[in-house]
Amino acid sequence: MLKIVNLTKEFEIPGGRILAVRNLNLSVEQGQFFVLLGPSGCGKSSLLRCIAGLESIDEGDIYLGDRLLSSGEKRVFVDPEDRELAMVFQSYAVWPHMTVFENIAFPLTEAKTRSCSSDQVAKRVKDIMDLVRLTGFERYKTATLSGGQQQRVALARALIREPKLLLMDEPLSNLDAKLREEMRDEIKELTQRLGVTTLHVTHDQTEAMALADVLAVMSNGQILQIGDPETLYRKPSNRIVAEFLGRTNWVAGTMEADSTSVTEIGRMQSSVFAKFEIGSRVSVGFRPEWIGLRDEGESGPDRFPGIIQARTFLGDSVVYWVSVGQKRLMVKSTASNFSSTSPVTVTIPLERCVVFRDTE
Amino acid sequence: MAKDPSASRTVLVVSLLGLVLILLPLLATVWISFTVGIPGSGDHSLENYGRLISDPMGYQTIRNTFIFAVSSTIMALVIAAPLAWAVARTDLPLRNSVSFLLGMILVIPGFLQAMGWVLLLSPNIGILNQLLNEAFGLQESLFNIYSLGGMIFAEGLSLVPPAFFIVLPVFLGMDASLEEASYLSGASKFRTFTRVNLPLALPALVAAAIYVFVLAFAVFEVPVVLGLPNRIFVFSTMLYLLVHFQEAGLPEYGLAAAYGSIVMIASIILAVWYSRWLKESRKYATITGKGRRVKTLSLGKWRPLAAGLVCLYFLLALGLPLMVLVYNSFIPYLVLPSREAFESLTLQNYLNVYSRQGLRPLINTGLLITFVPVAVVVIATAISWIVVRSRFKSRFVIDEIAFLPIAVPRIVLAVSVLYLALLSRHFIPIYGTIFLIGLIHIIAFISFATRALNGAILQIHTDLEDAGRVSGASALTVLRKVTAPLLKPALIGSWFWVLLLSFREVTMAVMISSVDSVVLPVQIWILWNRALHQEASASAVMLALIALVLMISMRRVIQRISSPGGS
Repeated sequence: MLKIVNLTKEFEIPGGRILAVRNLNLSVEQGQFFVLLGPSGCGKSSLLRCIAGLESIDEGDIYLGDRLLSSGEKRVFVDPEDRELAMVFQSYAVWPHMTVFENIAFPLTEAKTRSCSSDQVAKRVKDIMDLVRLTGFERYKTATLSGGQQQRVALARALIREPKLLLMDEPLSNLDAKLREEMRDEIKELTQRLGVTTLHVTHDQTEAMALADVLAVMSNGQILQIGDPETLYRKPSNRIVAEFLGRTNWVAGTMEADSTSVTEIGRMQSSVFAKFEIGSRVSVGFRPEWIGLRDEGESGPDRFPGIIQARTFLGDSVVYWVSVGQKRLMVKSTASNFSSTSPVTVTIPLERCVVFRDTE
Repeated sequence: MAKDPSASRTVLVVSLLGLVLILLPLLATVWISFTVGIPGSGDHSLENYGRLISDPMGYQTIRNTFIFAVSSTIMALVIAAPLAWAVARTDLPLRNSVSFLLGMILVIPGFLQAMGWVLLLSPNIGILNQLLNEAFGLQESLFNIYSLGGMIFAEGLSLVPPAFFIVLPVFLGMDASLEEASYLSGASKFRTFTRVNLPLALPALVAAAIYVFVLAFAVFEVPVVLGLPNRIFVFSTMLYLLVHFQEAGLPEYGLAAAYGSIVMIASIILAVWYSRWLKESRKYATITGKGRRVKTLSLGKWRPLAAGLVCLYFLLALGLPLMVLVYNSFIPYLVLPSREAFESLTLQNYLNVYSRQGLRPLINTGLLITFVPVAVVVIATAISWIVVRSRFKSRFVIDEIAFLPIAVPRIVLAVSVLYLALLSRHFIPIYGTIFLIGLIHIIAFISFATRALNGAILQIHTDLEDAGRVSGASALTVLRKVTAPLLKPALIGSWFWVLLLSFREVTMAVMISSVDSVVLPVQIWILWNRALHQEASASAVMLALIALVLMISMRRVIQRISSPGGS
């Protein structure tokens, strides 16, 4: 549905230029919920605005279906109002001088291509308002609505024209935690039910993994990895992706023999080290929740002795900071019976670890 | 590079028109300063600057102007700063009316107040002087308003409103936690005032001082009424003299423009300095509401004294002059209030005013306030739009150009426009007509409107407009259905404000007026000059009344259209 080819976008700021998006390639299939995850300033909002036609592009092409919307070299630019897509803004952009009804009906009543009679408009607005659970709010002035309600108005307004592509620019970041979770589930359910192709941008990794059919991690104007959330979480292709999608413990080591590495916490032997040459330096990464905690016992190829330094109770789990060898490891466990200064044995499933060549 | 999604050709053209209107007279001033002889004679030289340097009267005049400006600035600040502080931070009685009354002082032309003070403290006819003479058996009057001191007194009083309105937002917006942190650290109230409040307010005070000084340096109304009779000249009256009252024939446009150019450039530099200080002052105010507002200070035993002082100010600045003007308008000649005086009350003065020039001045003023505000708002909206929304690299320069007329003395603008109109009177026959006055008003007031509209457009989040475009509406539809309704309060407010400014404007009108283009304020001036004080008073009272009505309606309308849903 959406195809982005070699997109580059530059901004001029006092003092020079910023490359917001560089040589970016992206595809979103029909009906997919595609999430773009990245820290503030990585270029994800700029990318969204380029797709929407609110920014021009310097190089590359943007296709929606068969239509070329923007092209740098071919000098094509379709105005935003002619692009047949829809966008939910981070600020919701709900018009304060119009009622809820007028806001949602706007794409039907004010768009350049309008073909609905006023009865049809009223019906379609009512249907979509029922869908987003705003029934009865038609006459309200939007300034009196809560954040969550305003967001639903923005969503309804975006969906009423059944757009080919729905763009969402961090729509949940202004909501409080509980509301965020509720809205997150609602949005996924709604877009699935209507079969709307969605491109959702966020900096929140939990949200990203919960919503995505396909997840892309973006940094510094480029995409680092694309795939389904579980693959990206389990097998990140580099350190930045790993660190963006949850916590990771990193242990430095040197390859001593075939598949064996001498690390800061002890000797590790596993097939994951197979492709690294002897003498090279590596970083081994593993997630806190993969680590097992046992009472003090014997060492082994995947067991390492340690001492508990600190303990934090989180409700549904406990985080332990364990001193192992020269490192302090973060362990997430459901077992709450270990206390500070207890000696323990830490078990690490080596075959699940990710290993990268150390570039420092 | 694809086209800018937000630009519109109509907007661009209108804004360029505005810029040309502004730049033309300003640049012409410099050009005129190099001309000699009759307009259009084509002679150019540095002669005017030579005369400027060698003329002793010039030095005397500039010296007077400095003394006048500095002294009235100090006086205005000494009154305005504590007043603003009291209104913002204490339980001063009647503090809600203060803003309204100060607005009235702004709206009523300064020379009305000057006229009032002449009727009170003129050495020969002033009734306060007469009262004192009778009471103390004096031969000569105690006070003479026709002096530099008198001018400073009257001008200082009338400069309080601008200073007040610059300083007030800073006092109002002061973050409570800044002070509270000082108290919690053990500092006394006085210490906190000197180490926290005062430094925080300083940028605003400096900005106000600069702004008021620039105003005072170029002001015309008070000096022309109080200074001219004793030949005490300041910059503005000197220019007036050069253009209108040369004994040996020709008006001295060139020399006037030479003085004008120098003061114009100096004013612009000062205005830039002023903007910097204003920006500084805004950094210290919390607008978002994250900081809490301070608890109001109780004045306690100082309350009566404070209230008394505030009343005294308004009495001197507004009350006394207006009262004596009203009184004078109903009597055949100026005498102390007495039983005979009250028996001779008459409406004759009002009738005479009407019979002299009929409805012409009212019609002219009506024409002005009908067309000028609309033209200004349209042009200013286009300019502000380009400055705030477009991506043109030159948009900051455009904003600076739009700001210039605030910095340029109106008297200088008048000289330049008059000269240009004379020069082109065969192609563009507006010399001597009301349209010339309308044109110069438009040029002068675009700056005020762009200040307000810049802020208003900035407040409208671009997302609101982008959402309209993405929903399928064209740029023009978005302007009509999203932006314009949200701008309504600012548009109407600017329109009304320009209407008031245009209504009461007298400096430029006096310079450019001819018999056919007399407007209401100029009519007052003409009558006063011919020593028809009673009729001038009657005309003045009518002007003040209309101004009051306009101002009250403006406040009502603005309050009503600023609804919770608007910006």
